[in-house]
Amino acid sequence: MSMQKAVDNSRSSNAGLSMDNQEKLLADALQNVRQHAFAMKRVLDQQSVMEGLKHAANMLGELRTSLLSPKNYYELHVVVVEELHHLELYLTDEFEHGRGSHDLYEVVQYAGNIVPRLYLLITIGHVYIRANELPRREVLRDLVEMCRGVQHPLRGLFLRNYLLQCVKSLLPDTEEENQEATKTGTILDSLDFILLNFSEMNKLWVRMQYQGHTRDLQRREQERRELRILVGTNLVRLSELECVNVERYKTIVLPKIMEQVVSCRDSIAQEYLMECIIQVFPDEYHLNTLNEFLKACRELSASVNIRNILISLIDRLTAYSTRDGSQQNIPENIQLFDIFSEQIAEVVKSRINMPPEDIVALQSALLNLSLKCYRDQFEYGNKVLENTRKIFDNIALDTQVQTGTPAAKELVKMLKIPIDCYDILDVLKLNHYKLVLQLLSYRERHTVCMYIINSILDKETIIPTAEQVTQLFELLLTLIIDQTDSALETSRQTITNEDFVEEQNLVARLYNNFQAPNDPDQQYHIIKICQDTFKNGGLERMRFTYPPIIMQAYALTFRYKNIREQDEKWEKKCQKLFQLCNQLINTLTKLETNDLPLRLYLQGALAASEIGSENAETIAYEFFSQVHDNEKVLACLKKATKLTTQIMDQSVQVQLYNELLNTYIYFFNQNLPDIDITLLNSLIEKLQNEMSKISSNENDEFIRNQIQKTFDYLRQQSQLEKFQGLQINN
Amino acid sequence: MATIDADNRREIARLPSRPISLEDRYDPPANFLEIEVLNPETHGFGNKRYTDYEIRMRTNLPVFRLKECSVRRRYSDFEWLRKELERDSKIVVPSLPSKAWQRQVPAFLRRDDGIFEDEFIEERRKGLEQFINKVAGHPLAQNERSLHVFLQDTTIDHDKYVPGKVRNS
Repeated sequence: MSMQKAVDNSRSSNAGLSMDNQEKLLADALQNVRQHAFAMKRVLDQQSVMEGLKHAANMLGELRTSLLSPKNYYELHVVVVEELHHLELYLTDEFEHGRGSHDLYEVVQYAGNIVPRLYLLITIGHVYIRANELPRREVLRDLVEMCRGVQHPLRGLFLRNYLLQCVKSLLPDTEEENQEATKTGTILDSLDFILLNFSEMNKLWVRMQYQGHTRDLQRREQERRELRILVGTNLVRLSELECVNVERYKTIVLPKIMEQVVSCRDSIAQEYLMECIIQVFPDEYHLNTLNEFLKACRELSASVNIRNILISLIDRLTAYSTRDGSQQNIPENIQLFDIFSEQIAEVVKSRINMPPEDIVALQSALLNLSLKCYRDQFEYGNKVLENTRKIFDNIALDTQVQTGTPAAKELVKMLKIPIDCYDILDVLKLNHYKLVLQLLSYRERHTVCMYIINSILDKETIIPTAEQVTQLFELLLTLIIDQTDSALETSRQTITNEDFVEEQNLVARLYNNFQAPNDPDQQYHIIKICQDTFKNGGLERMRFTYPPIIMQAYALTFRYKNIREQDEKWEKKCQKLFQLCNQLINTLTKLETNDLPLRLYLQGALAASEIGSENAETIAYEFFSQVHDNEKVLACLKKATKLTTQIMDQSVQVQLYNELLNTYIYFFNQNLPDIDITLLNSLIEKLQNEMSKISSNENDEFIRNQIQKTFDYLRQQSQLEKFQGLQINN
Repeated sequence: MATIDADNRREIARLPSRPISLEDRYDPPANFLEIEVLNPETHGFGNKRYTDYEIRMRTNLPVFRLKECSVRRRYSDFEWLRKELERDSKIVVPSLPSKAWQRQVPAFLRRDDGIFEDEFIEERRKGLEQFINKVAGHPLAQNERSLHVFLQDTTIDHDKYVPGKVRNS
């Protein structure tokens, strides 16, 4: 290595980089460019080629500057190239009219300064190729080699970019030499050209890292990022060549690119170029070079963010494999899951400082792949979940992932993936799902549980067996019972807290989806499971979770009634159900709201009477007699009456009035104060009025009979002194 | 069709290009040298005060033994270095920032703090930084032991110091 004078990085050399100075420098340069361009165009109009080249060289001289920032240099470059286009058009035009000069390629090489010289050489070169003045293959080779003359990073990058743009449509894209013009070159020449241009540009781009004082490093790195597309364009150009196939990609293109990417050991270059490769080349190529690509990943610099590169690749291939709705696109011999699973493990092993959230993100991508590409093979998804849990167990056994951390966020994202891909019945088959859920702290568990419920409701998934309900509750435990790690939250779990209300309402709505359509016993089983689970939730939760159980129970009694021919135990079962409901409503009375239990009792009474089972009346009375306090009884009854008046369905309403009347009678017999004959009379009158409105079909016949029974009873009792003043017509 | 063959014209002949190894392509250039003069501190009291500066150096030049070092030097140390280089090396040594004799007039005769005035120290610091960067970057100066002692020995031991040349370490 030759002895070079050390670069003087003292403060004064940065004076040129101040903002105002930059603006002025650029403005001056642009003005010069315009002037030279104007002169050039004028002499070209007069057919003076040599004069034109001279002005062009002067104009191109502005691109020799070292003083402009990359952004400003780019601005300048754009304008210069635009003006150079005039020269190009002029020359092309001359050749079209048979007036072209034949020696310009040589002439411009005598230009004094290398930057103008090479821009002119490139311009003339590609005009000459198109005009068949010079052999294509030779000129392309010459140009890409000659650009070595500019080793300054910024100037070199833009020069080579100009070269690439100029030869865009000239790169040979054929298998064999064209017989007529034997020197056009083949695809192999194009590959050589672009790969050489690429490696030179990468070299210059990386060199920028060292150009200047260490205190300006951040700015330099940002400027490098702004220029990355210049280097990436080479890869784009490669992908556009039609004669590149999987074989050539695998044996020539990728290895050559990788060689540069890996050996440059520059993290900005590596991160960008790996990503670029993934995006620019077709998925089919990636599938056939997975091992090579992933091996190169492992060799990347330690500070490269490998996570994003791997995830990018996995996601792309996942999408490819499920395109058009089929899972056919991946050839049999490529076991995507195994390959990635193994490679991710290797990568994680080799990068000891990889933060946990990155590891989780990789596992998430792998999970996504498993669920989409191996849809019905749950063992893949399970494996990923199990591994994830293992990772955290190895870090700290039985410790929760702290809330709000990036790792926690990634875990939440991960747990949402199966919920999105499958319906809950399939998710329950991933029995390691809960292992990962358990890793999270309260807040994140809460988020996931809400997500699960919302998904079930949105997808309208039916959960048909008690076992599945049990498994589901296992997952949703965070919402169902008080959690040991939610100390802060517990105090806010009352109906005054909107979030709590929303949450419990959602849990309650879930019951609608617990349906065993052809199996009432299974449904009963489900109801028992629900009861067993929710009795541990505390009163505030029961307020929401009990009523749906109760309503389901009532509905079940109707189902049992319907199959009474097939099931001789149906009445016993109904009774058990009513007892269950009684128990539940009882608990609810401890809450302060009065009308909730009441409404439930009414519903129960209604159901009981509809069922018409042997002990229906007893049951109905029992419901009503649950209210212990005398004052409350009257209040209850009054409320019941009021509620009944609001019922729309005629026959239901009539039935309820009947029930009410019976209840009043019962309490009248119990000598409850405030319940007197007048009350009874008014109710009787009401009932008689309403009765006339109902139809005479079979169902209502039954109701009429019930009411008749009541009236018969009353007529009997009217003889007694107690019932003096009773008004009952026929 | 013509060719681009330029064998007849020596001026525009193509030079053979030797391929460079991958290390040479991408290694950081081996001419990295940054020296900063920072953190001026005034020591002592009254008449016995003096100011010294931190000389912080980072390099990958093979000729320097340490690739990173930090020492403290005062103005007179710079003077010493300059003297050594002028005598022994063939280079034209740049000048130091001024000695500022006027400022060294006794304190009670001055309105300000003389050579311990902040503005002055900052000016001097800049001058010293320019000086040392220019000097240390010169290949001939890099061969002089005095430069290495100045930049990389914790203290300049004038008893032990013997002038001489340094080759690549």
